[in-house]
Amino acid sequence: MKLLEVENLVTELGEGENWLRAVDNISLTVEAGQTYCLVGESGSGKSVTALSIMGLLPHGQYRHPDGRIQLTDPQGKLPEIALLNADDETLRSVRGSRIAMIFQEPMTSLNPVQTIGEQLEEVLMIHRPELDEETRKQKILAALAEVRIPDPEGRIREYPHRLSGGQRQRVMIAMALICEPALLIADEPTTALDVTVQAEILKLMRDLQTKYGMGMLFITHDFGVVAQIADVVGVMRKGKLVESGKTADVLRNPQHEYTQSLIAALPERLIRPDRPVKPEKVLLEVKDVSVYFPVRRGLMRRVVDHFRAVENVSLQVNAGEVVALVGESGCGKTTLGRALLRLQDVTSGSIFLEGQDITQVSAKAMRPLRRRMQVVFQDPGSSLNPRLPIHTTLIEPMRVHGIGNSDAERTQIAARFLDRVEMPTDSLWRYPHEFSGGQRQRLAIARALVLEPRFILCDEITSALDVSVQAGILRLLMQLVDEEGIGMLFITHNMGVVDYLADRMVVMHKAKLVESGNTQEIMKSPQNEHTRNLLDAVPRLDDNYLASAI
Amino acid sequence: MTEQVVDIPVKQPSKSWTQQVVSSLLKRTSAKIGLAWIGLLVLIATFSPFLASSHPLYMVVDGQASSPLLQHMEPLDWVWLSGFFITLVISALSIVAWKKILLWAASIAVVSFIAYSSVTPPVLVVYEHYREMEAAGKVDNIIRAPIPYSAKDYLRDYADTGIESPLSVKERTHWMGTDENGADVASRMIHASRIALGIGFIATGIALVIGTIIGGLMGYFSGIVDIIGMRLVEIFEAIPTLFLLLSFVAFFGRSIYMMMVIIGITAWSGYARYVRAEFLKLRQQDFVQAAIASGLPLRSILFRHMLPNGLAPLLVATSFGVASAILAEATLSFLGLGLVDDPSWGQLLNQAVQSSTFNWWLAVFPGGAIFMTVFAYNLLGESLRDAVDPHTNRGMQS
Amino acid sequence: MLNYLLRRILLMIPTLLGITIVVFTVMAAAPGGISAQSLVDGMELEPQSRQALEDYYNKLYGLDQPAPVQYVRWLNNISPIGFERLADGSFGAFSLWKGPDLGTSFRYGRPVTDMIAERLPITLLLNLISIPLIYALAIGIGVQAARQRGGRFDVTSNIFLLGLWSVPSMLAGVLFIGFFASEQYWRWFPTGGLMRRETADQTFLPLFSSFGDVFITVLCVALITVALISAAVSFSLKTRQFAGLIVGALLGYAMAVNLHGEWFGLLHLLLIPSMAMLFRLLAGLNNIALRIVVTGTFAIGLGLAISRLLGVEILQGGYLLDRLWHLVLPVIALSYGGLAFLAKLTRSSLLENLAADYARTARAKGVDEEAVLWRHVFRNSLLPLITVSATLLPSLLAGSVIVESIFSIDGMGKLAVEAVQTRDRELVLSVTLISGLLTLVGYLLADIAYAIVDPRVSYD
Repeated sequence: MKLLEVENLVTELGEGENWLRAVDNISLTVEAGQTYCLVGESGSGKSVTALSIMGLLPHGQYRHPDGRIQLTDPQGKLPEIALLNADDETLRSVRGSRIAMIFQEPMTSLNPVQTIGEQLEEVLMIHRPELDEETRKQKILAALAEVRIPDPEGRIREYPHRLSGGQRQRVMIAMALICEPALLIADEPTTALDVTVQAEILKLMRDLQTKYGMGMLFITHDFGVVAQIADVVGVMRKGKLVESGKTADVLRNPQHEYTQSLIAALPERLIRPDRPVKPEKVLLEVKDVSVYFPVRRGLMRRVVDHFRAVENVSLQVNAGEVVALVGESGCGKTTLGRALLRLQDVTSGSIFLEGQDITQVSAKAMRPLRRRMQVVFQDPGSSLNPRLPIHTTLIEPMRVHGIGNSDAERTQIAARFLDRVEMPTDSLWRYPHEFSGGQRQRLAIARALVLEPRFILCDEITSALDVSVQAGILRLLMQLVDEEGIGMLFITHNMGVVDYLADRMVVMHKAKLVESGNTQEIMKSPQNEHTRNLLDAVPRLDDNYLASAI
Repeated sequence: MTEQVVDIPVKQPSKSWTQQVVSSLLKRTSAKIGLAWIGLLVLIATFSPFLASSHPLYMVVDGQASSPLLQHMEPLDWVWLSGFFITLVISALSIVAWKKILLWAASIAVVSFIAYSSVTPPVLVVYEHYREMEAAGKVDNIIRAPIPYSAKDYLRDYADTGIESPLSVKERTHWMGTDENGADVASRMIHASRIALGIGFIATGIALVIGTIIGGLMGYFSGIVDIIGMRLVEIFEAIPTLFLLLSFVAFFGRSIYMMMVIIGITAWSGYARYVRAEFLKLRQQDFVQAAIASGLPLRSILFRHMLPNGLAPLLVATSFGVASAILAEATLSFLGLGLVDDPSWGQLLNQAVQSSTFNWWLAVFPGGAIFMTVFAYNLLGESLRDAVDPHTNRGMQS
Repeated sequence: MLNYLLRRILLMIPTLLGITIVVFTVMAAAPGGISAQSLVDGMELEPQSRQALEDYYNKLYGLDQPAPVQYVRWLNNISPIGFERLADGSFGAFSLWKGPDLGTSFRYGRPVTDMIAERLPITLLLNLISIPLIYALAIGIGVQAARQRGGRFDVTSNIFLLGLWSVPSMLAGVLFIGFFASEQYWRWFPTGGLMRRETADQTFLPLFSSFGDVFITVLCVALITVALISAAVSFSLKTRQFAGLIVGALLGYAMAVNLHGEWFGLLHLLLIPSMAMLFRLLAGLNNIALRIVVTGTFAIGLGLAISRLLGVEILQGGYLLDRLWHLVLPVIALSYGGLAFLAKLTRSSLLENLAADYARTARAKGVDEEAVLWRHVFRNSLLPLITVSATLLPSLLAGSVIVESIFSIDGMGKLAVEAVQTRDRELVLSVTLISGLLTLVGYLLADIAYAIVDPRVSYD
């Protein structure tokens, strides 16, 4: 039973003279009770498609030269509506009651100055004006209970900032479903959430869909999510729909080369090269490290308690090996990483770098030691100083540490490293804003390499990148580790990456270390329940999974 | 390991952030208007001795040619002239920004030294002299400045001088009328532009330096430095500025340098807040953390990595700051607490309403000049804000 | 919250101390400092009398002691707990109930407390009238500009507001007095002060000669107001603009005739078109609320003028009207700067919030644009306005200094200028203290208001 039919949709964005075709001739159909997943990398136009259906693009900055969108009522009671270029009143009557939409960022998608109850009630007042106050309240409580928010009575008077990310997204779902729409559009609703929370939300959405017989248009970039909930999947690239079909078919036998390359780039599907045998040489040793932050309260800002960010963690990284540090957000892995680099003070415990105790070393004495450990961060937007050309960014650390005898020589060295990270040498004279996210991460890696460190900390460096770009960087890292014998601690939450890259893995949960050991062993049989939760949260599309599950 | 020499291609033209901001700025109409007016003002201020002076530029008396104008030029006039050309030359050079500033400061210092030690204009000036000679017919040839009155020429050789409206007196042409002492308003306005510009730049410069240092220290070190610094900032913020200015000027007497310093000292707290906020944000930025992790010295982290990135709101604030400094000086002069003899726009404005007669030319012209200057800087500040902030320009994200 | 309040109030004390120290240091460090000599200078006295007077001042105010000691003495005087100060200047016993004593002004010879009590209410009156006016108009203009982002109203009002903000208040004050309150031009408003001396004895409300006159006045005003407002609301854009054009032209002509007589001169040529354009613009405003306010004000004035023409006589203006009449120009001169700034701030804050994620969510729920603006975005947009309001009070106080001097209003601002000019130590310190205190209290109120409006902010 056809619910939403999109035919030859074209959307152009821009202003005045400049128009960019963001969506180019897309056609898709969503049926009642079915989930259609729209997959693609950033810039593919999937969000614009969703916003076009709802008519939510910024006023005056879009136009639809072509296309047709029809919304039908599966029960035949409500009229059929042509959505594209409809007038405001029609769109308003449809939004929230026949089609609902939830967005990616739960933090900013709720009005910070209105209570949860008020925001839920608003939908009812607009679309069900016949209900009285008491009935509305009952409906709101029922909706909150349905999305499994504990203690709904207490919650309706709370403001959004008091809820966690997962809870906020549940509230968004409640708000979307309270009028029982026939179609739910979800624009990457779980991307900003923790892996385990994501699993719960996806399950919740699936359950609700089955209960109400809703159609769902789900937008994502994560194939694991597609595998979990999609009935039909459509792959978008640069505004065009390159392939679509039943999930099992597309994932197992992708027809279009782009789909094939996307799936092949998934870290779980990357081919692990034979790794050379590494000598057992301890590079970094962490013994019982704890990091506490003081909590100050009261009139005189006295320290009343300590926030335990890291508690008694011990681990070890050898030369030539990659150790993955995994855990949910807030488990303390980032704090631990920063403490290892002495960017953060350690409250107790010790850190040994190549046998030398660096825990309490002064900042001045630390400086020559810093050459041996380097870091690459997550956000490509802020990893390089926007004001300096790449040349200066690379040369300066070398100059400080006395590498090379002249700037000309140092430029040569920098050029060589750029080559190593597969970047063109004329990047030396360019500024960071001229490069894409993936290129900037490569440059950041080059900056780390220029000092020829023994140990590199990678803090979620590929989380903000597209899958295909990520694959290239992961391959590069593996090469560097194998060829140069660098020891690497790789912080991530993506199990597929762990599978490909890491020799050993360490799992943290709420500031404590809960499991550690060889990657393959833990993947096959995790001992700790938190590890199991992490592993089960999002499916990895390795060969086993594809052969059996879908 | 063999050292292969890698082929490094030639430097490609690529826009640094400064160049981007400048080109984005120059595209905006309001910035162009603001810069045009400020440029006009700079020209007027620099060439003021040549634009309005009672001393003729070239005079032949009894066969002897002389240039009283050049003879009576003050050292300050020479410093302004050379400063103008030095600035033009230096800004055309292509060296690093901070080196430019150093070079500029050094050249100005050298020129000032030379000027003040070598140029000695005659102390006693009698403006009426030339007019008397001309009336007596002793003069063969004379070329005068376009406005043939100096700022302090009170026209004592004419009998009834006082406030007169423009073009109302038959024998003399006063395009903007005269003030209460008989001096020509246009001439006074031209010479007053120097004070306005000078105070604007120097006072803001002083405030900027103090504010950046204190704000930077607060933002980087936090802890006790931050607490003390914030108290200082709060004190200077809470002091009624105008009142402090009044006190300073009333108690310390009126000298232009004092006024510059004072206006600067009362204005630094705003800049300190901006710098502190930016530094706090920057400390958490990845590239700063990476710089610390690379073991770069503190000096480099502060001046190369943090400060250039924190400049954006500071630039905007500076433009508005110059406007408010000019306004502060005009207000002080208006309230009768400005410079005594030297011309100032505010002081002229003060004479506009006297004993319930409204002398409109003393309100419109000097007031208009103050307004246009403040408006120009405000326009510039607004345009800078748009040029520097990427968010307001962002239209689409597909 | 209580802890936070206590902390803030406690922190105010060192800041106030700091302020007074700075000002005291300025006075002491100046040439001449604070000594009896500067007080006595300029008086024509014989050396002996002079010496006696100096000694008297020294004893009374402790002026011969070093600056730090003087400062401590002053601190002692102003604190509610301390050593009592006897009439001849020496110190008595320690007392817990002394009460703050701000000293006696050198120049006026009166207790400072009295003088401030007289003048502070006047300044506060000016400022407190200005603040709601500024906010109401600023929000109206800001909302209008944000609604039509990029439209003509938006772009032109932006430049206009920036220009308005750039006009120095001295210039505005001078122009107002010059054109609207002087002998040579239109004498619509008084030149200065806050009231005419006669009105001190008059009744509060205006007194008409007969009940019939009151009736006629009320009828005129009511009829004309209702007629014009309904016209403003219901007529189309073109009609309104045309009507505004005609009205403006007539008014311009009347103004020119008032000055120069019937024949055409430069003034007529200037005034008629400019007034016509101004009224066309005002009549053509899109925002209904603004239109009603403008038309209403104009209609009331017109109604009063017509009732006057009809022969109504007003025996006594009355205290209220006189006050209002005197207040119009100073309040406008004081508030236009703040208005311009706030209007721009409102506009940019609204625009930012209209594009925010939560606004998009609201639209996705089916909320219409007006409701998105008023129910969702408005409260969030107020937050920067509240933060800015902290600095509004100090800037208005500073503006008062200029406005009061120009309009000859005896308020705190004028007092401050006089105190500084006469180097009156007690007065200067007290004015500093009061201004500083008001400023800090303003900051605190703004922070509290922010905490009330924004539920995310909580002070522990």
